[in-house]
Amino acid sequence: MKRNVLYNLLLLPLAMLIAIGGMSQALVEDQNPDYMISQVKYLGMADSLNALHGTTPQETYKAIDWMVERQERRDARRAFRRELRLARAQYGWYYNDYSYYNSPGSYYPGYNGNYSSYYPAYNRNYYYNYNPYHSYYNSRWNNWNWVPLAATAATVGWLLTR
Amino acid sequence: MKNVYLAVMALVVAGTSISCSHKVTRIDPQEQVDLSGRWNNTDSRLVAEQMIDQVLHERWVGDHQEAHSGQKPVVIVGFVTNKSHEHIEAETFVTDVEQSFIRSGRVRLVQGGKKRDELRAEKADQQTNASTSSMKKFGLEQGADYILQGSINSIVDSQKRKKVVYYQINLELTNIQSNEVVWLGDKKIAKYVKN
Repeated sequence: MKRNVLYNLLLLPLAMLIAIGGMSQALVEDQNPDYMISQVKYLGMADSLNALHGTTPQETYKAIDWMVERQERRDARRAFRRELRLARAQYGWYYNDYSYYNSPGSYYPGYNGNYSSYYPAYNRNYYYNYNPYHSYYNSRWNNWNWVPLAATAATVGWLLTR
Repeated sequence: MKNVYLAVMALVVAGTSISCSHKVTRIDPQEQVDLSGRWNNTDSRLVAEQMIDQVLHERWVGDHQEAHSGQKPVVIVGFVTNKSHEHIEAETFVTDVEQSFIRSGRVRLVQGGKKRDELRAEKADQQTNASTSSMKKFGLEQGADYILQGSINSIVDSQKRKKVVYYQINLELTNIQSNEVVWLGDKKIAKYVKN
């Protein structure tokens, strides 16, 4: 069995040489004698390339378009708001993505209870960052929205008690 | 009171049905309807008309017949690469060009791509299933003389709500034996879109 395989391996180049020699004899006028090199190369890829004949390969690009970009910005905003709504629905009303205020080095760092640290460190504990009772700047009581509300309530109260 | 309630309900139902109704009408495919400013059937038709006009009235057919003792050229359709900013299927206008080849009777067409694979598969099936007299043989296909290839390019210039879109569609016929380009056709379309 092994001997047969060996003989076949030895005979293969010989058969190829005979085949190439036979084809070389059939050269037409002005034909390149090395044409078989190219023929063998392209025979291997002909099927995959020719299968796409008659099709339209899509090599599209993204054009700079003000209207399209504006729409994309709107879509991104809507997607972000939706995610925020979903997160609030899941984690409760105190969920706010104040990543700007919590980001390290920002002007309003999230209080992490570490006075010795000069640079405010973002507390990686999710609960401590988003729970208002553990973060001074994220506190619902430090929200400036209370000021106009309190002013309105005081005005209404004053008017009623006149 | 009951009558009033029924009347109100009827109005509500009628209003809902009117607001939900939509209308579809058949239009002439030759009619120009531009809605978004993107590539549409009118563009495809304009390309097909110009390409057919160019490809059948240029000298490559005559040259081929002269060189091949009056034989008609055989064409196969290759790729038409879409390099524009939109999804465009070239088949809509390339098929029109193919149709014109056959209708004119001056150019022959051979099948390529997946359709050719299907044909060969059918032929292979016939080797074992069809009667000997009706069985089609391998190795007797018509070889193409020319390949039709092309590209679709675009340029977009936009400023706020105004936009100019320019499409350039190129089709070319190349001699498969010599790689010589024997015909080049183009169609340029420019659109001004104001939103």
